[in-house]
Amino acid sequence: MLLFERGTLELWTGLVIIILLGAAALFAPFLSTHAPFRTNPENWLCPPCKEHLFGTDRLGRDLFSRVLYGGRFSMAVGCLSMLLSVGIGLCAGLIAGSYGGIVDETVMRLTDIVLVFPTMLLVLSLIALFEPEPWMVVLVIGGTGWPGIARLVRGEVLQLKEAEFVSSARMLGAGRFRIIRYHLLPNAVAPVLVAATLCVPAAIMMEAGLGYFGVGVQPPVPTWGNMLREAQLYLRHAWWYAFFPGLFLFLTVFGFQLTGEGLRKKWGLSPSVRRG
Amino acid sequence: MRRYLPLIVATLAFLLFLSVHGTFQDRTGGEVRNALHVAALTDPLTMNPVFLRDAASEEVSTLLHASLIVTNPSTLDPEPRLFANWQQDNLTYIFTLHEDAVWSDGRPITSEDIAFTMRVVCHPDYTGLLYLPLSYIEGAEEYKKLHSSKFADRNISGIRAIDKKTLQVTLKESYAPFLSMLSFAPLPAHVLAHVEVGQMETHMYSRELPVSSGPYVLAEWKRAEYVHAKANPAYFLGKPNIDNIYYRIIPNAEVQLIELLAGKLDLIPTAVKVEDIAELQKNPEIKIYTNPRLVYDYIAINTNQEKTPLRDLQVRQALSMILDREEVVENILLGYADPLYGPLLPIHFAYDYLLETEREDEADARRRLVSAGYSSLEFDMIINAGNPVRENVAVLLQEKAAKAGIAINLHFLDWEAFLAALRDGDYDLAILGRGAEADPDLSYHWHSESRGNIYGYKNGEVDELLAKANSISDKAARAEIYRRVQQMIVNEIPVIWLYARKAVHAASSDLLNFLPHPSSVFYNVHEWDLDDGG
Amino acid sequence: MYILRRFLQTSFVLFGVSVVTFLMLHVAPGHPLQSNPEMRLDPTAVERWLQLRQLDRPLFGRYISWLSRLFRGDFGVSLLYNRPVTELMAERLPSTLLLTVTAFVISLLLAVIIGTYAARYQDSACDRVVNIMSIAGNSLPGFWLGILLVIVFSYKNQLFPAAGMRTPGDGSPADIARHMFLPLSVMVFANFSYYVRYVRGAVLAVLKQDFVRAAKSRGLNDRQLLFRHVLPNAAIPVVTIAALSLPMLFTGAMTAEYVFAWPGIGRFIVSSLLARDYPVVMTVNLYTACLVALANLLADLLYLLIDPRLRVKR
Repeated sequence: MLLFERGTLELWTGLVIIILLGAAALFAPFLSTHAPFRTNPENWLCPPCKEHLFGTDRLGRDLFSRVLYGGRFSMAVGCLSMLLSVGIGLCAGLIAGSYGGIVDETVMRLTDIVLVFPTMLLVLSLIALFEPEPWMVVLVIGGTGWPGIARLVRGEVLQLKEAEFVSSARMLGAGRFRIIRYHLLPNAVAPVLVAATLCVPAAIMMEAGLGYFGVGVQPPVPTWGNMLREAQLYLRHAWWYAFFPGLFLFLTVFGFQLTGEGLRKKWGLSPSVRRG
Repeated sequence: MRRYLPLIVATLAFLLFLSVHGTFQDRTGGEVRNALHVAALTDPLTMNPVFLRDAASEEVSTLLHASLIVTNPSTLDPEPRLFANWQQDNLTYIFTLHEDAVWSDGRPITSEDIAFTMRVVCHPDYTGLLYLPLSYIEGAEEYKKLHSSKFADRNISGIRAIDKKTLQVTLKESYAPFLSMLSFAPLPAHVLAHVEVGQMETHMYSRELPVSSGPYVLAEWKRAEYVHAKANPAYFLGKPNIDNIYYRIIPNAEVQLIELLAGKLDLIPTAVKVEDIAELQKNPEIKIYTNPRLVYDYIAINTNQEKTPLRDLQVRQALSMILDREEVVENILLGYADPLYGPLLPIHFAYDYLLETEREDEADARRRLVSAGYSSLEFDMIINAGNPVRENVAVLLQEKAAKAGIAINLHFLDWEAFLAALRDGDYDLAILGRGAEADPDLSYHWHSESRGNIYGYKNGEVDELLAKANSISDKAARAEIYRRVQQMIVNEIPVIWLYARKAVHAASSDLLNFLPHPSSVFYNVHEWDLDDGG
Repeated sequence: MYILRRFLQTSFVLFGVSVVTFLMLHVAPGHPLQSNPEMRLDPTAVERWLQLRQLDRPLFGRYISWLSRLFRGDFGVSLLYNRPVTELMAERLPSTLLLTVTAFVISLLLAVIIGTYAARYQDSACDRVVNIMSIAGNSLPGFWLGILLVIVFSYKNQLFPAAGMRTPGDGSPADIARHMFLPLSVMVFANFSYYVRYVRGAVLAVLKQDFVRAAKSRGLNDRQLLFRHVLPNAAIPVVTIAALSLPMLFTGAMTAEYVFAWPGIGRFIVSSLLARDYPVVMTVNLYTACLVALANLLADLLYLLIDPRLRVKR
């Protein structure tokens, strides 16, 4: 019964999934049975078998290996975008929350501007501007994912500012920066951590969506999104072509979401209302 | 809550029932009888026959408009359509319009309509694609430069309507391909004469098409869904047998096939995936048609950068030898293409079957690189993403080139970014497609002063020969000249030709008399019929 | 006072959005008619084309004229279709609304029923299943689900059509319902998973409050309790969520529409973006942003209604 208490089950299941998939991605060079770019035109769209666990694609490339390498890419994009989002969000939120006044107003309106765009639309428009190199994708996804976090941090800071230990620190003559560093930041950690955890699957999903619409990182770099896009043309012959990349995408996102949910429950936070 | 649960469940069940219900109905029940459902990948953009820029609009246009002439599907020679016959005397052509040709509103199609259409095309505010061939008409260039009114009024000196059905056109210089370039459709002067040329593209006519000249008239255009065309009873070649054609927009080729197999589509024109053909051929309810098309793919070589090794002929030769075209055709296109080694297509009368070119040879490619003084090379290649064949060719080339010591970095770009990279010269190699005309005239792409010569190919002798070929009308003599030109161009490897894909159509076996043309599916749509016995 | 301030903030945000959208698209390379080596287009014709559409003018001037036309209700003409953007969008709005509103109603209804049930029996097996299902549903990529549904229901069994909104020439309600089934399933599944957590949370929060316990001790049975006390009080957070997802009704579901070739606004957005059809993309961006900003405003006002303390606090 203890396992069911306060999100423990979710947390651990999620972590196990993440760790397994993360390891699979990390050790892709050792686990993969074929080189992910190696074509074999005679053996195209071959169904899953011993030689090719997940079958092959149109050029006879091994899908198992490509899915593993795609995982590397997705995980990297997810985590880097998350770091970027959290970084920007934290700064913006802390600045807005602790300075207040006109600074607060400016920062929050900027946040609103980014926030009112549906994320997918914004990311699509931005990506269309640049050549979709991997780091660009990270920059765009990370650069548009921060407003939620900024709002969250600002809210926390405003609440904490009223708290007694902060006002007593201020009375003791602590500088603004010191208050942020030693009092506000540590106390805002829990909700930010949850938000950050949930940022990763959002970024991964976004990246896959870009790939699916054909504007993300382009083939032959294997990503789950662009594999799904390619697979669309072979739905009838090759169910495995669409099935496995999608399954891995789903499991990864699921793992992160579970973890986030588990953490949230453990710390007794309520789900945030606004998407993205 | 419990009390309402059954109600909600019942509502949902009813919705479900509604949606499944139709599945078991007779497929023809409730549908319009005698209808043909044709698949399209994209929504057409315009119905205006002189502003066509995309494949879907062009296709629909052949359904709704009658062109002045057509080209023969196998020889590509000009044949009568709206122009019932013509005589040529040196630079002067006299065209006679088909006696029965009328607009769908009953008015006769007259030589003034044709003259008006030509004036629109030569008007300074015209932004479509048809001007180039018409610029050979006497007075057309002056009209383009000097015409000051916003309307297509006043005359071009080389165009004269002799009577209602006779038109005289005089060229400023001899231009052999002229006739075959007249495969465009006229505009109705009585609808558009008072519309500014600059506004024509946005005019109601371009989207509602109240008047048309073709075998079908526009009945309904449901955006992003379908175009419904109805047989035109007044069509001058006789009312078509099939009463309704639905041109359905289904953006995914695989889904089109699913719909064809489910009996909801009758024809997938042009774009059947080669991987599916073998399976479809076994299906007794489906018939596969193939025919050559007037398009080909090639690799563009950017020699504009200074110090690029690509300026070295031996390097280009090596590159050209890397990829075995026959293997590409065999493995990627599964045989549904012609390997291509020069600028003309096998369907052209002047195509040279004996062209001398380098064939695939890895060792020789390597040797040439070394003799040019390179041990290894690196190139950036751009490909437009979303074209699986080109993507696959690029991947194959990359793999083979690596063996010869050439590293090729592939950049798959979305279409707009791809065009931008091309325009900025931001590439070494690029896979592109190109449309060919029915006439083998090569000057658009290879004459040093042509606007279409985007890779800066320059050869004085070729220029002379091309001009000479355009000035004579004897086919055999022209073919001889083009044979020499082809060899001269190919020797310099300005681009690497890859293959000319065939059009593969899948049709329901009920469709009769379907005769696809290299540049249009609806070439003889007025003769098609549906076998209702089956 | 607070309301006035929110309005001011919203209009500032919308102004920012207009600048951002405009800049974003005009820095991007290309327009639908740029030199395409596969097309035999005369360069002077391209220049003329740009002139006729005033695309050759400097950036700032174009922004001003765009904005001023915007205030007169003129959203510009699509470069691709050569028709007013508003017209193009109006044509696609009904099909989008049909899909999104149906999905919205069904998923909200399901979420309320199942969410309430799960909250009532908190920590039961059923509650856990609902919980996991909703997380899984949130993790399921819509396009993947769509593809799988096509394989299973359109190809393996020819039960539902995989594309479009109707059989041309038919278009009866039954026909449309059949075409709608697959995209609707994808959307309902995603929305349901999203809503159900909030419904459950909201109901739980109410159940824990004193007045509910008091009512229970007065001997009210489950049903009375549910309809008289719990649902009315849990409704407001749920309505807030619903208000926040209103814009989605109008922008459509890009994924579902794209996968199933639904002739709606979502698919239109994607294709216009890929084709650099500026006027369309700008209008859509602005229009969506407006909707979102208004929905946010609405949600804030709703909060205000529930919790008057906020009036002071903000």
